[in-house]
Amino acid sequence: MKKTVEILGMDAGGTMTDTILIDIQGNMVIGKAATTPHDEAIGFVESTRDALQNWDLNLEEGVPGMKVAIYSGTAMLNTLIERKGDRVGLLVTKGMEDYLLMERGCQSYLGYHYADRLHSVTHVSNPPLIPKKWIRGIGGRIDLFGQEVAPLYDHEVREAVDSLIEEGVESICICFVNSYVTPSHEKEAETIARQVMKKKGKVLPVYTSSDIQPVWREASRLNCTVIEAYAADPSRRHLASIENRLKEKGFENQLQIMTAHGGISNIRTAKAFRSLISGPIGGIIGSRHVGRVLGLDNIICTDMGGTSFDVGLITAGTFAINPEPDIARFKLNLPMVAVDSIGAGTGTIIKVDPISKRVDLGPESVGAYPGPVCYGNQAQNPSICDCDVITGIINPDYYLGGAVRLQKDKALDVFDERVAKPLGLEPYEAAAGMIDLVESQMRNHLYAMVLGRGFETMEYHLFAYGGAGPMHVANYCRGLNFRGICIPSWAPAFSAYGCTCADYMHRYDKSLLLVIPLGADNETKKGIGATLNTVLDELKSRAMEELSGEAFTEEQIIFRPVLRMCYTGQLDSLEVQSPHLTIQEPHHIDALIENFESLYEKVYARAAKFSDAGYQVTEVVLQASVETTKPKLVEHPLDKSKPPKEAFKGDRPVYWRGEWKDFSTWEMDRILPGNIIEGPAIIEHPATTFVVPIDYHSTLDKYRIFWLEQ
Amino acid sequence: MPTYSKETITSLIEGKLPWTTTKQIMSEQKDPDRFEKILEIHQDRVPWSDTIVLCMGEHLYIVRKRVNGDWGFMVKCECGFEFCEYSRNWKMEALMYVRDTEEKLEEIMPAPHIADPEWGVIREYYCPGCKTQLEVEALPPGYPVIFDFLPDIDGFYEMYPDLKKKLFKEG
Amino acid sequence: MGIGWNGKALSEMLQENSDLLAETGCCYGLKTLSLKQGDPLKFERVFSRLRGAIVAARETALHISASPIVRELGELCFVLYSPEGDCIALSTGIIVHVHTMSEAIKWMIRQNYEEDVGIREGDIFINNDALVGDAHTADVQSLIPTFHEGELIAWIGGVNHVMEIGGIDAGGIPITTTNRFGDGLYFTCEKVGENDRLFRTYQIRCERNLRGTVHWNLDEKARLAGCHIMREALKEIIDEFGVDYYKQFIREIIEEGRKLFSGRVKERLFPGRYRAASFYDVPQKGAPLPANAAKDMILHAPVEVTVKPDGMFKLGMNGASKWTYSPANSSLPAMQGGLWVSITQMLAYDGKVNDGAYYATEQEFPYGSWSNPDWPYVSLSATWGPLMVTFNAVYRCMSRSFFSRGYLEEIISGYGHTGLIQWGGTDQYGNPMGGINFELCASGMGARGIMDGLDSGYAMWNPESDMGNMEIWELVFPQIYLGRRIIPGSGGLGKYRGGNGFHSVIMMWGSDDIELTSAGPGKIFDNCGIFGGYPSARVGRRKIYCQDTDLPEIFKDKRPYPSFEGDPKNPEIEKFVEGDFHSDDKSIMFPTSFHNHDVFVTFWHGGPGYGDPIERPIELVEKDLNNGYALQETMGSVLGVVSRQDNETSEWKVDEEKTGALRQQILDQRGQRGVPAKDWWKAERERIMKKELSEPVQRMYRESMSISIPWAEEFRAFWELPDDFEF
Repeated sequence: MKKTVEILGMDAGGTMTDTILIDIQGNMVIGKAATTPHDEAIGFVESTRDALQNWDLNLEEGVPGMKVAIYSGTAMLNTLIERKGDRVGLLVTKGMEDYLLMERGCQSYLGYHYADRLHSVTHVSNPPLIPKKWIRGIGGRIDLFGQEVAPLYDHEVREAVDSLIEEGVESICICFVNSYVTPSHEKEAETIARQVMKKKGKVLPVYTSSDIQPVWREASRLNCTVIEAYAADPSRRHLASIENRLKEKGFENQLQIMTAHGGISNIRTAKAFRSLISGPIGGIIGSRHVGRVLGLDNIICTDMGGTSFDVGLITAGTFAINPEPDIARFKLNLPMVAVDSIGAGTGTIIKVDPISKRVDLGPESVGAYPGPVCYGNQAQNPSICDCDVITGIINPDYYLGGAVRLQKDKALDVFDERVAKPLGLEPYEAAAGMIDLVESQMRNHLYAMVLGRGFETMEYHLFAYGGAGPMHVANYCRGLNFRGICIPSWAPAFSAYGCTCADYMHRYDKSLLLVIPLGADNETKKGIGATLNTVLDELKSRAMEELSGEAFTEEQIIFRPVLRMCYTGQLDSLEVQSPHLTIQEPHHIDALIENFESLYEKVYARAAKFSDAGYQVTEVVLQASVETTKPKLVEHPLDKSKPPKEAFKGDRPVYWRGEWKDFSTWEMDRILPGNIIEGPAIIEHPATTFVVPIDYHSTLDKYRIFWLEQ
Repeated sequence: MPTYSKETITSLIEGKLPWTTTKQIMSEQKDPDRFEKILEIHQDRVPWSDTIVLCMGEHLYIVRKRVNGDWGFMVKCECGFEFCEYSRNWKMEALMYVRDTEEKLEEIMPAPHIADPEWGVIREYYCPGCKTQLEVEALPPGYPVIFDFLPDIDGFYEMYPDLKKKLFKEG
Repeated sequence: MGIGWNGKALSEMLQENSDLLAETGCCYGLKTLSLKQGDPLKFERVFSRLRGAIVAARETALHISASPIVRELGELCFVLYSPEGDCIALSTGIIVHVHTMSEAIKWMIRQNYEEDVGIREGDIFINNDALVGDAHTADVQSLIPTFHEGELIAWIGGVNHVMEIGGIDAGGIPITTTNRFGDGLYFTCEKVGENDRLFRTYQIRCERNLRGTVHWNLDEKARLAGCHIMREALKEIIDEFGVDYYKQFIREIIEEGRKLFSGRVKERLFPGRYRAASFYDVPQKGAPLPANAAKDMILHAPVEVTVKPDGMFKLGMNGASKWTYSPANSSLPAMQGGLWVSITQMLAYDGKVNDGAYYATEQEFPYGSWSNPDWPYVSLSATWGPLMVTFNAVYRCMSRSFFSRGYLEEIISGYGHTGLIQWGGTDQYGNPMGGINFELCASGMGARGIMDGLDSGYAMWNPESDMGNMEIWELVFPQIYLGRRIIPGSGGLGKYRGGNGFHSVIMMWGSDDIELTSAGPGKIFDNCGIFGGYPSARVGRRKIYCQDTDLPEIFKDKRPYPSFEGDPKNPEIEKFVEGDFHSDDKSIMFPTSFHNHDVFVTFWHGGPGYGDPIERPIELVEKDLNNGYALQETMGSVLGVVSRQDNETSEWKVDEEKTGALRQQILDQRGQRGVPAKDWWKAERERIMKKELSEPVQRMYRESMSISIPWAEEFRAFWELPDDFEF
């Protein structure tokens, strides 16, 4: 009988669109298709069709039964990068009229690598999202304590909105200094704007920064607000078109979307900018889900793709949050699941400096076209992928299941010419050396990620996924003594899978300046608790409003309060879990301080502690989530340790540690749970290659997760 | 190592290359044949045939030619005006205009955001041929004319014998 | 038995190495790089480990500081040194200090700290003495020695710019000081801790002598945490690769750095002699200062860059004027730091740079000049003043060289000077205050060879420039921003214009006890365009502010208030505000008291221009007009542009035909007003003979001629003056 697809997860990456289908029992299949940036719906449908084929289903059969469909992609990002957004009229505090042109100075080198950060002649401003003529300065000021310094110049608001509408803007965006403390001026301006529209018989959306993201640092808050106004609707239209394709095929629910803070939400939700970026974090959510099933709560998530090596940390079941990431060369105070990336992927370009004769690895990568030399598209830049082919790790005839035939000879010639010869090395030796080098950079990165946050590698399990993760995992973990190394057999589509594991969750942030003096007495602490609760209640009611609007009841909603704390005066804070839902008793405050101190000591070393300064709460965060249908992990019966004959694909010579060695090769999907593969071995899958080095072996467990052991 | 077509280099130095490409060229290792190509690009541009051996600045070249009998290097403007031998300061052969009053300074920058002419003046150097503003100096009064650049042409071409053979045909 | 390698004393190691360099021309006498040749990829792996670790150390430490200078603007840098103090690997940040700290370490070694003071694992040294190895008192360095089995294996240094240093006036850069004794707390390579703990006595000294210590303490913790994180990482690396490999590695990497830099010079620069001159004004005449300081002074910064075919790069400053009784002096280490920060941006930015680059350069900073003072008590508070102008000239020299090699995309004509404004008094929380608003870290970059300079986003001393958020600065100082905007026309004009500077209108708020100081170049041009481009406007010269204002009433009535300068001739703070208005063109503001609702305008300079202004591309002109970045006044007279605003779209359009005609007119005018240089020479010579030059200018020439005989001879020769001519 035919399978019923329950969950569909989709991740539109830079080059490939991955789809994962999960049935009621939790069985999974993967589909892939080229990403189609101009209209992601096309790639989306293609890769869904590709996935359904594995279950002999066509779209008409597969789609109707689906309960959940989750999207994670670059729709909004592209709108932004291509500057194809809406016509926005912007009201800012008088004197900020040049802000979008000036930018924060740092935006002129955001996204640059080390060399170009120093190489100042390369620094440039980004084209502003809103032309100067649609930016108006409005009189009025609020100070850092929320006190009114100058009233809102309401007449200026009227004039501005009126003329902006005349000039044909499609929305009004409002951002005033210190509105994170007191939104009164922004609210007032919003009201006036609506009155003016009413008079003119127009209805345009109005976006205020205090509603979008009431968090300090006006430049980042302005960016968030402008991006919401500029790109939200175009990308919603885009997402709707994807949803429609599904509905055409009989999908009866609403398409959902992955957000930067690690939850999913409805594509019609307010604050679309929260889904601006989500690709890299899917895998972290997935790892947490699998971790829960396996009973692991400290996990390092590693995703190696074509362009980058992304690392995320799950500690005690929760992932770190980066409060002010930069995306598409904008600084945003958009809380995002912390992912640290380095430009180390299979596409990473290898160069030799003509003067120093030293190797430069990346950070640029070859991209989808012309791709690595071995693709045969006349590419002249050798990359790691070419080295993988040269050394025999990648099977040139089974790349994407044979869809692309790789040209090993071409790769060898170009690599020898451009890299090996200049270094005075044999090509095979050099190719292996490059792989070694990139792996050691990845190892450094892992090391810094864990140690830099004050943790020990021994406390963590490591998950490896992404097209290239399984290929290099053995070496980038070498010597780091993780408790265990897991490679899910669905690694190639793990980000897509991750999206299906997220809770339906909104996150609400609010900055404030709340000092907890050293040795505060119980009365003071009670007062502080009261303040915190007021903010929490405010956030809670906003959550209720939004979630009930999305048809959830209070009983379904789980609230999680989090505080950002620091020593008084510090500008950077740490995210501290509150053990209590409402904070009122003095010991609740003490618990917070305790959590903060121990976390701080871990992250910044004891020498940096500064308790004498007292403490400060800089932000109150409320996570409001709703349990959702998540994929089950099927428990398969365990087979004997010896893998079945039909899984064996013969031996293949691989250049390994200075000599050619025969590696046994296997078909991943034919290996049965319980089987043990002895290294040296290569386990092939149409979408990935898993390397089990000499003196390693790998066991496939009942959930079809490979464990790599020495 | 990269190498770029003359067309690419031409639009690069004319500021017409798209930013993404420009940025790539900036971040890349340098193209070793740039010097030679630049000379060719400029040689094709100028309305005269003396061999350019060095581009000194916008519109300003050092050419190799016979100076009363023997071969020498002359500073020459794109328009054809010849200043002097490269070992002398071409500015002394130029037309000069000094902005040494508040009025003259306020013509080129927002008044009153100017220097005190008692402390600092601006000297403009024009080509007597085409009147192009070739250099500007900002100095206190009485400061000697600055000799911006005295190239070691022979020292340079010693390092590139092939190029030397190609350019220094005769003599 | 020394703590150096194989029982040597550090001083021995230092001596040996400089002898070897002198003999062989190679660092440590290394003719071949055996490790690198033996296994180039292992060599690379070790390097990436070290670099990765030092960068990670900075990333972590950044978050500890309370000072926006560090947290918002990243003014923090960590460096790994050899036992003799040669830099091996560095993070980003204020990399100017990579070499200054190196000098500090070498100074300790030469002073025989090994025996007299003792250098042990866990020791903490701090330094901010620019005569020894720093730029100025505000840049505070923490240095920790690191050992391996009893041998000193490395020094790790961390440095940041502090908010306050306890000087004669508030902030990190006192400007009223006329000698060392007003510069603030000096820590001359002082041991301030053992076993990774600071001495209580040291902490008490800081608590008692600084205006507030929250920033100071957290900055110090940030520096120490970073150093300690790096120390742990280093130990791991040494354990993994073996101490012998490490020792040989750091030797080879530095010698390689030397070769690499010479190679870059050969690749990018044209051999020859380049000259340029910059100037810094110190108009202190009539100031309430001792007689030796109450003078109008000009610091002369003549620059000569020599590039040899073999890749040697030399910076000479023959003719630099005498040091002054003002904070505007520099020191040898500071100047070397300036050279370092320039070459790491223009030639050696690939992140593999180390002290090898320094060994591949020669410098000549005349003893007794402001760039290398011969008075031990000279003030070194505002080192950056004259230092920054000097390297403006160096940028120009290198840009000429890039042009000649055809690498126009590397050209930067210079940059806007950053100047400063500092806060003292009582902050909005009622605490003593001393600090500097570091939004100044975002001036205009000079025009580039193929495009305009970056607007409001560059400071030569930190390539990772930024101005930070107003909301953050309002947390730190008792101020309300009434505006922060670009200054139209502040970038020097040219075919490509210099990046514009910006200005902030700030209103005092939350304190009635505020004391501001401000300084920077102004009365003289501190930069100059290249190939016909103009220097940038002197916006920093002017200090405009209004005290005892009627802003409360203005706000109440919702009347217009100043949010930017407006028409420079009739600024908004004069036009809109009733009160005690001041406009001072002296470019220095000595401590001045402010109260609630007083307004002050801070100006940050633009950068110089590139090329003949009448060649400015039409589309760039239109862009400027539409962004409100251009001055109508200069459109016609300087750029030769005729433009009009479309009533429909309100967009500016340039009339190409009329523009072409006007530009031809300008050429003709030049022909008429231009005089042959030789004629000008005759006239100017007369003035000199008659000494018809202003007092500060004559003083400058007198000093330069007295310090440098060659410069005096060239001066006399150029003007054909009698051999005994003097000012």
